[in-house]
Amino acid sequence: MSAGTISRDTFEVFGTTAVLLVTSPQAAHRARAIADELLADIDLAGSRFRSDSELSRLNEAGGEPVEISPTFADLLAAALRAARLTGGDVDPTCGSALTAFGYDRDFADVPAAAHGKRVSTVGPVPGWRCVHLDPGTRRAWLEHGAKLDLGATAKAWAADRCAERIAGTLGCGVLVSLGGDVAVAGPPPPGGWQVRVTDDHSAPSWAAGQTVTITSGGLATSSTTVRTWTLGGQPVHHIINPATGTPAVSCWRTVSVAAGTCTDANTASTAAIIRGAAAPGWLHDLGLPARLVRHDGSTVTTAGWPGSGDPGDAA
Amino acid sequence: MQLGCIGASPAAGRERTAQVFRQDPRTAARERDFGLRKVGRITWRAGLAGAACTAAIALALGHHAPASASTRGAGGSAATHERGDQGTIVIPAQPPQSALGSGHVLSGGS
Repeated sequence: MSAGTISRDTFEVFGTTAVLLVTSPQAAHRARAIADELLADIDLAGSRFRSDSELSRLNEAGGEPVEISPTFADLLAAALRAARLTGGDVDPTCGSALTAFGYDRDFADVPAAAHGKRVSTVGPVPGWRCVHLDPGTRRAWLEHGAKLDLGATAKAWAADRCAERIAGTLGCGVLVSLGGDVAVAGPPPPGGWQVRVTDDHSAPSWAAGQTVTITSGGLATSSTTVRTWTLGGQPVHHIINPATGTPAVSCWRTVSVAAGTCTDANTASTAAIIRGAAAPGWLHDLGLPARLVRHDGSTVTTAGWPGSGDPGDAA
Repeated sequence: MQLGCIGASPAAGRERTAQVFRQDPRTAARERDFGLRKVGRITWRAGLAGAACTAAIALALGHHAPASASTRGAGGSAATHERGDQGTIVIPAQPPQSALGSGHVLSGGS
């Protein structure tokens, strides 16, 4: 199968750009329908900016148990798993911290809304152990005033689910990218899926970075150079360090990780930003191939991430 | 009568044992057995306390353990877990390979 038979569909979702590729062009329409249905369900469950979402209902429940849907239970379970596997570096209780820094609406409106504002008092986030999920009764509740934000895991989890469902239903190879969180499933095209890792998923295709191929699982990139705004004259970004409740100060501007799933890749790339200098050793010990980019553009790679084969590649 | 070995100096204990043995060897044997049982009980309790402390520390710090574990993803030669394994970050079945060109898609921050 040549690369020319890959069908491409690009659309907006979750306030970012989605790309859907399938290796069978005749399956493209059905693939999009499957993705639309899944993504609408996930948005209604986990959006922080919809008053009718289950997440908003739980955040406003004042600690009382709330009955939740299977989709939201799975989203929450994925976020808690990420927290557990990173020792709390990727924490779903960053909702209040993000609100304190002005990220309290769709990101497109944040920079303008934050203009002239100052940050309110912040501190460590309540922590993921304040989040309780009873899968048996499908109830969840929050302690100590915790407010959820699932931004660190929801897009990647959604990409995994879409890719899995489309490949399972249509039997073709599929790549789903939600804001640069990439999941693939089914038989890949010859030579694999080519992914260019860059600072910004919406950059032009020739942007500085490196092109690699993957054949299964997921690849995700976290960066402090995007989703940035100014608050009180200071530049801030969206990756919160749970230990301080403030945007992470890291020696890495961008980290890309390949893993068995996109959710795991994104969990590791976000944790790496927060862990800073300790990240390469942690990723190496886990056996995760990763590419970490310092602020000066120099790179460090771990666990089998390939060297650049293209002289044009640069960070 | 107790030998008084615990809490007394070893030399004093040995002298008292010798005195008792000279007076009545059977009493001395009983006293020795009593002392050994007492030491045994103390050792057993210390062991139990150690095990309890170990369990408490493991419970308190156990959540750190999975952070250093991983498994290979579906399709990998070492695959023993399902995709999305609950206890570990799953490594890819194959690491990424180098490629030329601009790629099918971009992965970057968003």
